[in-house]
Amino acid sequence: MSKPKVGFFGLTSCAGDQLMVLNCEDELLKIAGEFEICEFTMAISGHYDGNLDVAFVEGIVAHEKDLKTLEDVRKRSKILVAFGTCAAYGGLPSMEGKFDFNASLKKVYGEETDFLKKLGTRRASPIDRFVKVDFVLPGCPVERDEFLITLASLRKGTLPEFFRRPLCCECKEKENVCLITEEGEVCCGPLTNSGCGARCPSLGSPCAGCRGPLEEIHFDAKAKVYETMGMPLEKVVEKMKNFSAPAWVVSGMEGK
Amino acid sequence: MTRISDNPYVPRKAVLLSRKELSPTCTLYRFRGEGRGPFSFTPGQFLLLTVPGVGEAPFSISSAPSEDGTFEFCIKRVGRVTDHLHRSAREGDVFGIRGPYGRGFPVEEMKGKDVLFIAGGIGYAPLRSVLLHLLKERESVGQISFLYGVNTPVELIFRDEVREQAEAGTVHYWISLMEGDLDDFPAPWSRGLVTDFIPRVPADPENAIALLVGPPVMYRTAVEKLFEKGFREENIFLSLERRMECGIGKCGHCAIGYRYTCVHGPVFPYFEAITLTEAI
Amino acid sequence: MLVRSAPPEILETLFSRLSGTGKVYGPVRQGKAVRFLPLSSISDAELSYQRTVLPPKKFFLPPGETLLTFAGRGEWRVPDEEDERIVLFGLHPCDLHGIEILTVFMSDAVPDSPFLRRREKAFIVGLSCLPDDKCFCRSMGCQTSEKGFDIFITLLGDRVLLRAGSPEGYRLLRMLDGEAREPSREDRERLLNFHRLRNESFTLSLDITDLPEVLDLEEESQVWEELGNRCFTCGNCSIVCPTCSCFNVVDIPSFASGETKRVRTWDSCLFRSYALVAGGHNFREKRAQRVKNRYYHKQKGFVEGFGKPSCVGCGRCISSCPAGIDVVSVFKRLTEAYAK
Ligand SMILES: Cc1cc2nc3c(=O)[nH]c(=O)nc-3n(C[C@H](O)[C@H](O)[C@H](O)COP(=O)(O)OP(=O)(O)OC[C@H]3O[C@@H](n4cnc5c(N)ncnc54)[C@H](O)[C@@H]3O)c2cc1C
Ligand code: SF4
Ligand code: SF4
Ligand code: SF4
Ligand code: SF4
Ligand code: FES
Repeated sequence: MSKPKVGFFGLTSCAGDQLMVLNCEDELLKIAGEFEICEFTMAISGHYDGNLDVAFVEGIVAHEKDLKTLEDVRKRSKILVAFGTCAAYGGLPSMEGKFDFNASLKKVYGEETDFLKKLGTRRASPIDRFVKVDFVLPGCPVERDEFLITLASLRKGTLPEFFRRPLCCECKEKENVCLITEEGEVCCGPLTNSGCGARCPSLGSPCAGCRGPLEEIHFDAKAKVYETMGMPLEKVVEKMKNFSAPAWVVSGMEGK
Repeated sequence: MTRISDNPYVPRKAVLLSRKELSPTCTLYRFRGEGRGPFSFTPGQFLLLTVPGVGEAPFSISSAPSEDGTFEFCIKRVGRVTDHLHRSAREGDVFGIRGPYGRGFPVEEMKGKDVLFIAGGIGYAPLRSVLLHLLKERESVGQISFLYGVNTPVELIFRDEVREQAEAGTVHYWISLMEGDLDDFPAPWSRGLVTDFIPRVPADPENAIALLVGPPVMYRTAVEKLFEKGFREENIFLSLERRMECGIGKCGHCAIGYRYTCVHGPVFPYFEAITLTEAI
Repeated sequence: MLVRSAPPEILETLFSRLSGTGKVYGPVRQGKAVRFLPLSSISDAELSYQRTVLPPKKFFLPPGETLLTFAGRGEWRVPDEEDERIVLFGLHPCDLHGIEILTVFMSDAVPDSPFLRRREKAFIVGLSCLPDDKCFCRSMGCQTSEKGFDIFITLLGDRVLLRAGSPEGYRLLRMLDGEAREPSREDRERLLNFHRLRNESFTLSLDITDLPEVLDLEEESQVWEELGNRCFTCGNCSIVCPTCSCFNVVDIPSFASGETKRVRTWDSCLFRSYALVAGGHNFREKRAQRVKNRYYHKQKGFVEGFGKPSCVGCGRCISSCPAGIDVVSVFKRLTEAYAK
């Protein structure tokens, strides 16, 4: 069997997920041995325009060039993986979904925003707004283990099965006392994809929701639960929106 | 404390003997179970099939019980495990099986009675096990009627077998389609729901057993029409599909009330199913 | 069975005896959490703890347990058995009942041998306790234990009572004869006083006598709808429950070794994926249905299947619910609705 052809693509992003790949030092040789890495925005400068078995796409669509790249990659790839929370849910760059888009632009770039228009700058969005996504690997950045499991599955000719529970489950398996009940903190654990082993709550900081929202988003009802516990709704909404603002738009919570 | 016997999570080996495409989405796989004594089961029981390195999923046995340790699955391609099977399984490959598990259809009770099968789509698979079993001793039962509903003609699996049985007159088929036509088929067919045939089937409800396997929506209508026809609760049997992770009453997923579909089912007499909240 | 009275120092002798038989785990305080962790001496243990975050089920049904390892094509094996015996020290009666309930469940029909083997290998030492405002074990008949322990320790100030609950426990107690004696008249009085004090200390209670019947009538109650809107379906309550045992099984391949592990992970009927089948049909689509399922399984389904509820009143689900939902008031609201 020939080696599967894979590509790593960075749209507008911090490249943290691509960096995570490069940080898999012990496995890099094996990865290169078992997959043909045709493209890698961060690590390989050449351009390849043939077909791919798997494309890992990181980042959000923030302007026309991103969109073009994304559509091109989709056309050339059998499996397209949303690689990281930005690609999957919007992530931090889409946080501006919480604010007025044009006002934000002005605030950052001043009055001269014409050059941005030329670039086709648009409201930051996760990639599934534009193309079909076959698989989601959330995380900010993606968990190394999950990435390697994904590679192992791809080598077997399948995609992995990750059992996504609310983060609270992993938090409890680590036997933490709950930061909501014990410390009155706003914790995104109940709404967030498991898979990180509850890293933050285990260190005493509430979950910031960096792994994106669970499939079932009932932010409105859930945010109200916090309110009944004496936490101001705005504060909760603000916090929960950090990594997954676009999901809020879908669930109809925008502006609330 | 109950004796702790063999680890129930360890599959035994099964070798793939052959595969045959039945439709664009369904394939018939024939296996031979290895080791650990004879392989006996009741039609309606299921096995958990492991595709090593990929996953495990429950499938009803689709062949009749036989002496030679072979059995068949008719598997529809819907997700990870079934997709992998469909794309990669080759003759001679080794798979894992656990089971047979659960309660099957009451084949003994069918002796001397008319048997009415009602299948929706892939529901034909487990019923085929009963049917082939009964056909081995065709005289042991009365009239066999088979109502078989599919969406489109290509989804009509086991077409050759169905044709053969219909032509031989051993089984009276009634086929329903949501769209398309069945040209030159030796059995009555029409557009509509499979349950539409129930009033027209000649069966003596006093002395008949009805066996149902299909999607959850089929059961309600089917049972209603069977009642109208005079069938009694205790003569209606249905197989319930639930998510299953363990097959042995432990993982909880298949529970309906206090019953575990994997242990107490998947086949339930109607009068039992109706007592379970959310069952149908 | 044998009962012995001794000064509290006997616990040290007991501990050294126990550590000779296997690794000893007991309640250890770490910040606000108490967890069952390895003990190196009796002083590591917090004897007056209220409840651990996770119940002792973690020893018998470990989260993320590897059931099988798949090597090459058509080759698989079970993980090597841990042969070391473990000693669980300081389990409260509710947790002893929790283990008993799980053991009955795991032994039923097709026994879950990985669970049962671990259970058989554990030596269990129970410990008396006084309830806080989240305990309602008494309502569930779980404030005392008749079985499920090898030795049970009741702390009575400057005396402790040691009760044997198994032949092994008996043998061990006998070995302590030099430091212990028959309970005196005074010891008996103290024990009765302790029982009285414990029973009077309960602030939470729930009358479950007619609960299964009430539940039959309240399938459509508004209570479930309201609860569905308040509950995060975060699963905290199932994870920490000593009797919740639902699990999901996934196969996880390793890139480095090429092997695949079949792993069982704690699951909960509160999750959306729990009752989802092929074709996308979900038997409990709505959160209200799922929340309700948890209550029905505990207080009705399990009763029908095994003759008693699968709740021991340990209060863990109450103390760990981020939404502040508590079982007792849910059932109370139902019975009130019923009384009206
Ligand atoms: C008793 C029984 C007998 C069955 N007999 C047959 C049969 O004869 N032929 C056949 O084609 N199919 C049969 N099925 C259905 C079959 O088990 C599922 O289609 C299979 O699990 C899908 O596995 P997958 O990995 O390919 O799909 P997945 O990728 O796991 O998922 C596809 C869909 O199936 C759901 N699902 C996941 N796990 C399970 C599970 N363990 N059980 C049910 N649904 C699940 C998912 O929620 C999803 O909606 C039977 C199911 C049961 C319970
Ligand atoms: S601290 Fe956060 S993640 Fe942990 S249980 Fe509480 S809400 Fe869940
Ligand atoms: S812990 Fe509370 S919020 Fe979480 S699932 Fe249980 S009842 Fe719902
Ligand atoms: S339901 Fe709650 S109180 Fe009852 S045993 Fe479980 S965690 Fe304890
Ligand atoms: S069905 Fe729900 S309540 Fe019952 S054991 Fe499973 S998770 Fe717990
Ligand atoms: S499949 Fe696990 S309990 Fe039935």
